[in-house]
Amino acid sequence: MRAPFWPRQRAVPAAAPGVLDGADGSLDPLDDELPLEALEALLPDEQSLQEVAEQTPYGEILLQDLIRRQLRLAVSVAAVFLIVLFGLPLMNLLFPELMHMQLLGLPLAWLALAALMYPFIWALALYYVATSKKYDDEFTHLVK
Amino acid sequence: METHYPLLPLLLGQAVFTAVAALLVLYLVFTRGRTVTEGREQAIHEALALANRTLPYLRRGLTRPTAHKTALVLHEFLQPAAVAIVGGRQILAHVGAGSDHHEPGREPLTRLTHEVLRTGRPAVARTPEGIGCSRPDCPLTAAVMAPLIVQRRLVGSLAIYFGDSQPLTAGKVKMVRAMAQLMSLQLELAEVDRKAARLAKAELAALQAQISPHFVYNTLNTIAAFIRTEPETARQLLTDFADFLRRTFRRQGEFSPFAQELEYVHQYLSFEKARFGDRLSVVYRVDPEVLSTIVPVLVLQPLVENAVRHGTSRKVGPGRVCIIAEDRGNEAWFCVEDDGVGMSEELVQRVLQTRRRDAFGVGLVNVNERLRSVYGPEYGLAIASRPGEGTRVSFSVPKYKAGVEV
Amino acid sequence: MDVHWLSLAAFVAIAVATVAVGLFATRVVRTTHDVYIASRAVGPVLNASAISGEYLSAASFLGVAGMVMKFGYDVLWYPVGYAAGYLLLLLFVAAPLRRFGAYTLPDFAEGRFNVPAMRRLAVLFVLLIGVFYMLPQMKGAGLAVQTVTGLPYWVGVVGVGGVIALNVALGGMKGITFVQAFQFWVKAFAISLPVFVLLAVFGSYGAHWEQATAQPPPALAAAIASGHAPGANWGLPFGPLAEQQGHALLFTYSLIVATVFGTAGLPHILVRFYTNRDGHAARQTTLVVLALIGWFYLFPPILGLLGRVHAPDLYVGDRTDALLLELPGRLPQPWLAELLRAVTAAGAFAAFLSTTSGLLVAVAGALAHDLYAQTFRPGADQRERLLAFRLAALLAGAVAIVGGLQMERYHINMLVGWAFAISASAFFPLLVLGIWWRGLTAIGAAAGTLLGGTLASAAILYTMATSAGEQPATLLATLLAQPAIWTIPVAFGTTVVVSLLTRERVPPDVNLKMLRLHAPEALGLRTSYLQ
Repeated sequence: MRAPFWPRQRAVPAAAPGVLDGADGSLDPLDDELPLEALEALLPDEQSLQEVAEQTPYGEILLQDLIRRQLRLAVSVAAVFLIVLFGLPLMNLLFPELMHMQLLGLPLAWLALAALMYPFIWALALYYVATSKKYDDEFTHLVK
Repeated sequence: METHYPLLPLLLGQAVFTAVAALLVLYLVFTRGRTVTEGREQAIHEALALANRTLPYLRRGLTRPTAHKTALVLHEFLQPAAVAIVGGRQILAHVGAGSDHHEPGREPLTRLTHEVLRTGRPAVARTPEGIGCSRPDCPLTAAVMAPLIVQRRLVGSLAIYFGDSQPLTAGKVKMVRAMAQLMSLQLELAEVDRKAARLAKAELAALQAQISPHFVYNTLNTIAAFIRTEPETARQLLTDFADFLRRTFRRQGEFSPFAQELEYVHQYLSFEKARFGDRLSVVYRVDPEVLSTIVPVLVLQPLVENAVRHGTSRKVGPGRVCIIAEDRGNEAWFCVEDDGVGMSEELVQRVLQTRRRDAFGVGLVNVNERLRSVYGPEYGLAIASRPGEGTRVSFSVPKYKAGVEV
Repeated sequence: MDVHWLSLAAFVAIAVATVAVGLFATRVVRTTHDVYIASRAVGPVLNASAISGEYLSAASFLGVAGMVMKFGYDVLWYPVGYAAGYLLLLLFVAAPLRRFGAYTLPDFAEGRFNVPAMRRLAVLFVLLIGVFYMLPQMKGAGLAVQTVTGLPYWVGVVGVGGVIALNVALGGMKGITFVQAFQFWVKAFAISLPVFVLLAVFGSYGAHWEQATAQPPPALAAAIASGHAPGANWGLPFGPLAEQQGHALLFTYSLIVATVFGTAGLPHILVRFYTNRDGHAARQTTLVVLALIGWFYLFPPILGLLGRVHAPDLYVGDRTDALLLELPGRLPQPWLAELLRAVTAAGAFAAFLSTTSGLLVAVAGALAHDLYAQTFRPGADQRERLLAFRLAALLAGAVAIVGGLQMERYHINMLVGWAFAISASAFFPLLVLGIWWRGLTAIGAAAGTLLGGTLASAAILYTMATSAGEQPATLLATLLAQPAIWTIPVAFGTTVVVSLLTRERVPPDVNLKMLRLHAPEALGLRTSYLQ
């Protein structure tokens, strides 16, 4: 979710647990004093954010670190995939007997390419999406 | 496997050859004319040190006080016979020899200055005749002059005069030119500062226009009316109104995703609907593809407010406001329609040209100006209206424009 | 040849449904307090369906199955590459591009460097890839109409191409996300149903494998004997397709490289990522796309296998591209055959309808927005720009039709593979280095894009002009016929080396661009922090 410009009034769990997302979905504006302060606390830590935004040495290290982690993740996943993908023709070339082994009535070479490849790709993608989300979240926590 | 050619050498050879050829061409194209001149670094170094000291003055713009202070610093630092700064068509400062007749506020007296101001090029004179002062007894005997240029516009000149005992060297000439360039840069920054300040003011004006007293008054009146008959509704409205005001004041930045603008308009309309009841109906026709398009903040709400105020509320009987956002490929198209009283052709023309805060408000004019300044003149508002039938205000923005970001 | 009325009706039904879905999607919403804007946003599943719908073209729907039937094992690399391209898109491009906010590739090219010339360069290749990609769609249209009605090839190309161009020009992109998603599900249904029915009637996958390779039925045996159909090496790696080439292994690799790296540069696909809410949603969308098209691509190989066993007559006259439309006719029950034929006809129509519309929108957008409004006639107002878009759509449609008429002799799938090769050579290095490398300069990117794209296009045009297959099967011919394996490294190398040489021209705001590309939205960063 893209963070809204302003923190929503409804997103103040600390001040009034239980009232959150109450029946009418809102808090009483009249006892707004306390929640307003809590709102300020919920605002992003302007200082660290500012560091990242202005690319001070500290902020730059933070962002560099995130980019490097994401890139390392992407490259590792890509490497695993490309090794398997580019390995298959070599397997076909070097171990034809193995690749002609029948499995479910089809030779392994055919089965690998016409079916097994897709779940494999998907599993890699799933791993990547989960991990990259984790990195993003960790970075957000660190900065905020 | 059969191989007709040795594979690897062929591939490598092809790649290396192509890459080298491309590199050579590009290198030649993009590095031509780059030579290092003797003494240039030294001149720049000195100019930088100077610039550091003049920075606080010129950053405030080119005026007589700032020019005078800058000239003083330069005079102290360079020890020439005189330093003069010209802005526009008058002398802003003259420090040193000849200040008795080269007075600030007057037209420049020397022919050379006029030449620099005419051509926009640096000029050098080694003799009093070369300087061409209108006073024959002028003590200035040699001069280096350079133009001050801000955003490709010639705004003035810097002149350093030397006396008999100060020979004119190449180093001095370069120094003065570098100095003038740095001063131009300072002035440029000053211009940017001024623009930013103007922008901030405009934004504030937009916000103030946004929360018009009429709107606050009307809404509070509506809420008051509900307090007796429907206290629950009144309570809800008050909550929403507080939230709305908070949002308005918290709004920062120049741009936001269209989805947020739409949400904001939706909230605004809930008050107008409370006020007008069944007399106002609102229709949304929004392509979800444009929800993520980045638009200038507060670009939609003034159009909707205008539609409600001038389209519907003045009309007898129920009115309808239609908010349309359409995906048009590389562009997103937005439109607010009403079936209100409409306007005449002549009024339509006036609305977009007026600068006064009149009945049609700062709203449309402000939106129009901001759209045009962000995306270019062709992206302004288009208004179509017919008296008695309604009004349609529309605009389109490119889905991506460099610099337009949240 | 007799007319298959039910199939014709299916064509019409798909066309009508497309317009109806478009209208439904942009239906009027009357406000009440519970209409909430967020509920109108496009979620990952819907968007992924739309992307898959736009992506699975006539090549995937008709071409892969037909080419598997004709060439066997080696063709399986095409669908694997088409699907795996999304993995690389996910890993290197999806989230950063969304965060950057670019709608098209030219947007990214200009915005990354603040250099308008980069936009024009990117537009050039967007147009080239777009037109190239439309040609096989036109062939699919011509073939489908020919098979269903018996009319000549050109009638289908002109008729269907004209209808699509007109629709894009007039309707623009009414509810395009919903329309494309709808068409994905039509295609998915239309390709899976025949497989289930045919396998139920004729026997299992494994049994067909035996028939296709070891024990060919009489008709297939006759086709093999007459030399029209490939023999036993059909089911083996480095079979008849690679054999035509000088170097089978190299050909295989180059094919993989082109399809895997080409997806990220397809102009009509990239724009759909703009609709995602944020970077993470872009990743989720890609994940769903991988699931959807991975599932889809299970079916074409099966159909190719079935075709080899049950429709070997298509080998004669090289009509295998029409396999999917012909195969239902081999069922013993005429009513079932007619019904299935209508289903596959609907799927084929959805395939070239969705992809061609998407490409036309992208090409017309590039012409109207990037060339007309930004280069030739800045200052064109709202109405003029819309008119320009409409005319550009018609113009691009006309080019596609004229080009499509010449394409009868090429395999649909091969043409698409070539479009991928150009896209991979021109845009993959630009995207990957632009997103991940600070040291990239505009000159470096321009040099790499220009060189990679030009070399790939030249090699392919040369191969087309000299008509592949007739020339000697040399290594050089292979490298020209599938150029991606050397053009991509050349493009990467040129980009990097030129960037290093012009190091002092790295954009001064490169850190800001990196921040835009990689900072998670949850951070709540805004440009206002920078002022």
